[in-house]
Amino acid sequence: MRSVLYLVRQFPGELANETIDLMLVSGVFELPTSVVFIGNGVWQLVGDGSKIERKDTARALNALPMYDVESLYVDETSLAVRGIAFEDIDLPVQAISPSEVTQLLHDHDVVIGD
Amino acid sequence: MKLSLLIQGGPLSTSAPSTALHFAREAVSLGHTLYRVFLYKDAVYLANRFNSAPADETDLQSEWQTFATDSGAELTVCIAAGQRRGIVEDDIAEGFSIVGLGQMIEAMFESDRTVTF
Repeated sequence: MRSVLYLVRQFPGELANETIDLMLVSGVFELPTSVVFIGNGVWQLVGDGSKIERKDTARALNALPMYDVESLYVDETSLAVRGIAFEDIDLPVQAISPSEVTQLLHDHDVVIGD
Repeated sequence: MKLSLLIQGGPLSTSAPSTALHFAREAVSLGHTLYRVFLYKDAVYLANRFNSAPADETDLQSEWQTFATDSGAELTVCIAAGQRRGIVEDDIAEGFSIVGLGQMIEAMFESDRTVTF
């Protein structure tokens, strides 16, 4: 079975929700699926989209473990440069270093950007 | 090598569908097989049959149609992404077919490489 890594680099929004849909379908098809939030993609892990009349991305992301997408990572450098504390993230993500991100890119068969 | 392409960038706002076409032509000319092209997000606009390119500009939709006919590549459009943008089955241009997200996942494990644009 091919493993898939989703690289989330964009701000929350409609396009982000479409990427989440693709992740959910990966999970349903039982592909080993991992997700890395990096760059501006880390903003998807904090805040509540419903406050600006948007679908809450964080809520959709919370559904991922139910679809067997359990390997969620966040790039710690991307958090640091944006002043976001890891403690403020309310999702089961693991903070990793840029070199660990590189390792994940090597370890997966398919890498999908957003 | 068997390849599939995931195109996410729109035809007017990005160069993604155009770059993907150049890549696809080159890959096929080098002897690779194109299994499936999947249009997702704003790339679904490429498949709208009501598109009308100005006479002095490249008609990207017809370029893709010609390429698909010549190469045998399957051009697919995501039904959910289309609906969000007001593009339903009746609006899809000839040579494109409307499919579910599962077809993209299937393409990932059927192909040796999946390339995103």
